Amino acid sequence: MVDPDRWQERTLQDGEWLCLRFGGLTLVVLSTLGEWRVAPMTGGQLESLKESAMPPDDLPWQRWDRGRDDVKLQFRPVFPDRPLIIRPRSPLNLSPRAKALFYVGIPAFIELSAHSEGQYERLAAWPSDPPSNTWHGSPIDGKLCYSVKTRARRQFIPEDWQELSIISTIEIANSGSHTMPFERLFLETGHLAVFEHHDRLWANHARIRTGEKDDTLSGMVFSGKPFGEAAGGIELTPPRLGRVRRSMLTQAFSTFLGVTQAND
Amino acid sequence: MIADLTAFFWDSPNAQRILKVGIVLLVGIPLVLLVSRVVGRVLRPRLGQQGGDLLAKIIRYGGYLLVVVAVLQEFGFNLAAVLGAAGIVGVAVGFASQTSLSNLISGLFIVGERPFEKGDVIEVGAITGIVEEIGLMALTLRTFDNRSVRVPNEMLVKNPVITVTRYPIRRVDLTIGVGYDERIDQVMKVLREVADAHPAILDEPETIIVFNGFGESSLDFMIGAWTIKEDVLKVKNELPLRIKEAFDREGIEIPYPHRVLAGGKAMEPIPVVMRDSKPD
Repeated sequence: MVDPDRWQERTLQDGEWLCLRFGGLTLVVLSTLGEWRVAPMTGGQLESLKESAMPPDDLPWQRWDRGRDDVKLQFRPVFPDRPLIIRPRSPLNLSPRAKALFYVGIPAFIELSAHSEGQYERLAAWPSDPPSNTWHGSPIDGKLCYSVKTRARRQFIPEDWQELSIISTIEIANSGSHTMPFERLFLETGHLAVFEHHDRLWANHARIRTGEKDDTLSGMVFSGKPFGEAAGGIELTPPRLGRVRRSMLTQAFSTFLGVTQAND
Repeated sequence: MIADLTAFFWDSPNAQRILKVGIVLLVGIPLVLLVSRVVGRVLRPRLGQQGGDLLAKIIRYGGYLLVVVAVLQEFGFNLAAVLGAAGIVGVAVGFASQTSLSNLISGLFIVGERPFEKGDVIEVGAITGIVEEIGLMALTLRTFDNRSVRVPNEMLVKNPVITVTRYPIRRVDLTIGVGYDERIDQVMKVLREVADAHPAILDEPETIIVFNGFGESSLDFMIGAWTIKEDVLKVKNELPLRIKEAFDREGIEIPYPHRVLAGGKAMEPIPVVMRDSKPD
C-alpha cells in the first residue's frame, strides 16, 4: 500500500517518533534529547513496532545532533550515490540506424533531511532495495558502481515496477553501420531528477546516440521532463550534479559496446 | 663610534672572516631550504610523496655539506688536504660501509621505480605491513599487530615485494571440499547463489567457480570472488560462513578427511572350486 504522504514534510517534537516503510526498507525516526535517531531496517519488523509506545533501544540507531527548535524533517527519493551498470536480462541487438526506447527500473535510495538552524540538511540516504556492487573497468583501473539487472522493457506496463523503482526511460540510437549489442550500459545518474506521477517515481528522459566504435562522438542528451504521459510529473528531487542538457559519456559506450574484462 | 668600528673591521681579518661566514650561513641555509623545497614540490607528482621528500632530503643534506665546506674554507682549512685524507679514509670507510651504500642506492631505485607508496600494504618475505616511511637506507613498515619493522632497502631490491593494495579490486579465493555423494552441478549452483547474494562481492568481474577435481576425501571446488580492496577482509571472513550456512541448508556435506577401507578384487578370497574327482 503506497503512503501518499510519504514525501510530505513532517514534524516531530521531542519524544515523538515515526516509522515508515519504503519498499523493503523501514525507517524509524525518533526525536529525543536534542538529537535525531534513525534506525534503518530491512525485513518485516514494522507491525510489531507500530504497536509499541516507543521504539526499543536496541534498534540499530544512527544519531544526529539537532537544535532545540529543529522539529521538521522530510524524506526524498534519490538516485544511488554511485554510477550504475544496467544490464538487460536478455541482451538486445540494435540494428544500424535504429532507435530503441527502454524502460529501466532503478531502485531508489531514500534520503532523510532534517531542519538544522531552520535549513534542511541532508542526514543520510539508505537503499530501498539493497543493490549489489559491480566494477566498471579493468582490474587495474575502474570505478565502483551499483549493478541493476533489468528486463529493459520496450513499453510501460504499470504492474511491472516495484513501488520504489525510479522508472528511467532511455532512448538509444545506433547511428553506426554495424549492429550493436545492448549488453550493459554505464549510467551516471548525477544529472537525472526524480519526479512523481500517479504514485510512481520517474526520471527525466535521456537519449543516447552512439556511432561507430569511436566513442568520442557519443553523447547523452537529457530532457527536462519524464517521457510520455509522465511528463506532467512533479519534481521531487533535483539532479545531484545539476541540470545539464548534454553530457559526453565516453566511458558509457566502451561498456555499452560490450567490452568485457577477463577474470585474470 | 661607527668610524672606530669601521676601522676595526677593516684592520681585523678575523672580523671580516666572521662576517663572510655569517653571510654564507644567512644566505646559504635559506637557499638550500628553498631549493630542496622547490625540487621536492616539482618531483612529488612524478615520484610520489615519499620519493619527492626523499630527494628533497638528499638535496638538503648535500646543500648543508656545501655550506659547511664554504665555512671551513673561510677559516683556512686546506680542503685539498682534507679531501685527500678523505679519499684515503673514504676507501677504508667504503669497504666498511658497502651495505649502507647498497641500501642508499637501492633506496634511490625504489624512489624512481615507485613499486609502492606510503600507506600501501606490502609483503616482503614473511613480513606484511603498511608502508610508514620510505627512507634513504630502509623502509619502515607497521605490521597489523602494530609493530614497527625496518626493512633495509637492499632487501626490497633483491627480494620479491608484493604490493597488496596496488590495484582497486582483488579476488578472494577459497577452496571447499564436499562429500563424494553430492551432485557437482548442485554444489556449483549453491556457491554461485552465495556469491550473488553477498553485497560486497562484485557482479563483475564475475565470480569464478571451478571444480578442482577428486580429492582424497572430497570433491574439491575453488571459488574466486572479486571485491574492492577495502572489503577483502570482510569477504574473507563472511564467504566461508555463508557457504557453510548454505551447505547446511541444502544438506550438502563438508566431509572430514577420512579413509574408507574396502576390499577390492585383490582383497577377494582366493576362489576355490570343488570338483568331483575323476573316476580312475
